[in-house]
Amino acid sequence: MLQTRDLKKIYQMGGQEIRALDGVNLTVQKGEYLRVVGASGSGKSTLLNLLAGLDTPTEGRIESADGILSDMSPRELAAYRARRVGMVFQAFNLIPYRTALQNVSLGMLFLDETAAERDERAKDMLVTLGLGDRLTHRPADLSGGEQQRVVLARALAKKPTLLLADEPTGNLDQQTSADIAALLAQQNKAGLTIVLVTHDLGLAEDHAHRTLTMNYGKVEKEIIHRGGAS
Amino acid sequence: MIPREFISIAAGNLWRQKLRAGLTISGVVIGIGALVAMLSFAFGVQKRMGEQFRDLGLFHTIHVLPGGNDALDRITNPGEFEDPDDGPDRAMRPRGRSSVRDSLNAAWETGGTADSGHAANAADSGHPANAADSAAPATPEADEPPPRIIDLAVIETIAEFDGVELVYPQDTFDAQVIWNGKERSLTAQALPASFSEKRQYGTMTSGRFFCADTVLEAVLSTRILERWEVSPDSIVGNTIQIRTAGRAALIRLMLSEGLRTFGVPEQLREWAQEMGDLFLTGFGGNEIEVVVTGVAELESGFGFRVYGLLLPSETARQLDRVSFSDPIELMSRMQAGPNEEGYSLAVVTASPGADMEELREKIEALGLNTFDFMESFAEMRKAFLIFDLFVSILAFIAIVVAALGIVNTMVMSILERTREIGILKSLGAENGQIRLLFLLESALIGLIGSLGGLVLGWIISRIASFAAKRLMESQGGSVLEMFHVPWPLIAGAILFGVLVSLGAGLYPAARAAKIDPVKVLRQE
Repeated sequence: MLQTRDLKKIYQMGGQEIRALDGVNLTVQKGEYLRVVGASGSGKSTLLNLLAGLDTPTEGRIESADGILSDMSPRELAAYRARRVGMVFQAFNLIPYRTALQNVSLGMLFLDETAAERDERAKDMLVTLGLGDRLTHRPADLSGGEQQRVVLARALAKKPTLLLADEPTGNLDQQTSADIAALLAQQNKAGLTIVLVTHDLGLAEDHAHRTLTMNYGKVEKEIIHRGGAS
Repeated sequence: MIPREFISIAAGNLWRQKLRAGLTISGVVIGIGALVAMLSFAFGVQKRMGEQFRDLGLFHTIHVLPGGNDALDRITNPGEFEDPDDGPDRAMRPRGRSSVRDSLNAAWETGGTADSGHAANAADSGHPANAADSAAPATPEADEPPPRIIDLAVIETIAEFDGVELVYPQDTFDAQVIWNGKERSLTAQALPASFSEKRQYGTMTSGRFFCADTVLEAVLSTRILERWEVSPDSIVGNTIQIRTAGRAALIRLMLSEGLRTFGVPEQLREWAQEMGDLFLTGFGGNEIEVVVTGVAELESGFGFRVYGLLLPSETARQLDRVSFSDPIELMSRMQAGPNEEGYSLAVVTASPGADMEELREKIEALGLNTFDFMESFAEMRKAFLIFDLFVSILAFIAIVVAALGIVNTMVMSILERTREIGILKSLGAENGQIRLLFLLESALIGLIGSLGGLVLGWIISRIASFAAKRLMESQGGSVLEMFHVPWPLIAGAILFGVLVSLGAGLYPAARAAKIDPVKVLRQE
């Protein structure tokens, strides 16, 4: 599904070279639930942005079913993000003046679908995630858990093949975090490939197939969980 | 992505920032409003000018002038005849004593200012400086052959040309009108009766035009009656006396004064005058009675004029008359009858579809000069183009200020919406789509502003038109509509407003497209 080859991301800051990623080789199988853990600054979010096609590597490459991401034009990368990738962020990143339904519908804006089709799918997804009574609520009117479920609905409504979640429970309490983890596991069981980045070692431990531990831009350790979601 | 969705998003973004967007749009409204108001005035004046040319039939009118270089040069190159010793008021005035020059000069001045009301006033007042009221030709230079004059034979020859519908001489003279015991001065004009059928001259407000060239009838202008404070109904059908200052009267006066100056005894003076009267009867009468058959709102302008009192051509010929405008001219005129010297001007009206160029060539082949109004119309249009350009530049400055407001608003909007832009990019938006979104917002500002500007410009033009009409009324001139908002101006103003707004949105849109989603989405 996805494979990285000697992936490097180097930033120049104040004349100093920061190696956010330093030769990461990684393979994500179709339908896999991969967990990436590590301390802050270990490079896990950078890895996620590169996998999403939001950022470009300094060296190395990412191979996807659609081709090598670094060889793609900005337009092809945008199409890759629109069709293949769903993203969930720690800071939710919902548009504050749009309702839950409008936010989820916005996630399909760049697909070839009519507004009615988008709204219908958005509504179905919100109902599926237990937000049927929150369709017209704006993010400020929703709890943190509800907001994150809206974000998840936005990511899932467009039926991506890859879900990238960056600290999705970072701003949530323990119970809500567990609920979100359960939702992700449910989607993975339905066949969705998930890469989850978290610093919470306990999150999704029971659901993930593998856990990679990153440190200073390198994959330091890989654990394969026998009791994974699949 | 469907463009309609983008428009909806762009409109929603503007709606959320109502105050800021409203202020920005108001800048465009003012700019476009100024543009529309100023150009509607320019277009209105041009439209009015074109209508007046058409109404006066000037597009198929040729003025025929006596032959020789001098006459036509007065029209085509008035500056070359400027006397350096003269003041600014004299800049366009002719030198010498030729009343042809006077009439040509008046034609030039009137055509150049496009002020028909003024021209008509000047004409009706009988003011010699402005009225083409004399029939003396240009004085030829000593080493040049005498110019071909415009006499009745020439008029008849021109009338025979193909495409000529009507030709008549500009035969005008000072006259006194006596009615109800009051004597009033004006400038009279002799015209053929067929004039009323073949030329636009205005509107009969009361009665009818005279029916033949020989009848003792007359038509008065509404302007003259307003000045006299006489209602048309009270004078139409009445008989008026028309008296001219004829050569006989002048000679009698000069003889009497001359004899007195030389101390001739009174008895001898009376005898001399009786003898003179016997001799002077050959000059014809200088007083006739005519019936006023109608009152007309007479149109004048652009070198074409119709005077305050119209008489049938043959009837006018019965009068012994001479101009008082210039003593030297007076002496000259006393030596020869007007028809022997010729007329200062003849007006040729071509039939519709006639080849004007061919007709001009035929007339010029007679040794006469011609002047048609197409040329002066084209010159006026050129002048208006410059005026249009000038007002457009003024309005453009206002639009540029509005455009700076748009840039400011859009940059502010981008700073506030960086996260939103990042989200859109993470969801699959291309840079071009982000650019389009912000350009659409700019275009919407331009579109709404332009529509508002059109309304504002229209309101300004209506108010200005109202004020101008009241002013014209108070000054007694014709009330004209000086503002015109044609469809091309409406479309152009909208297009201009949108294009300028799009231009103003280019930089903010490019800046929005460059936003790095990784950076903005990482921020808490």
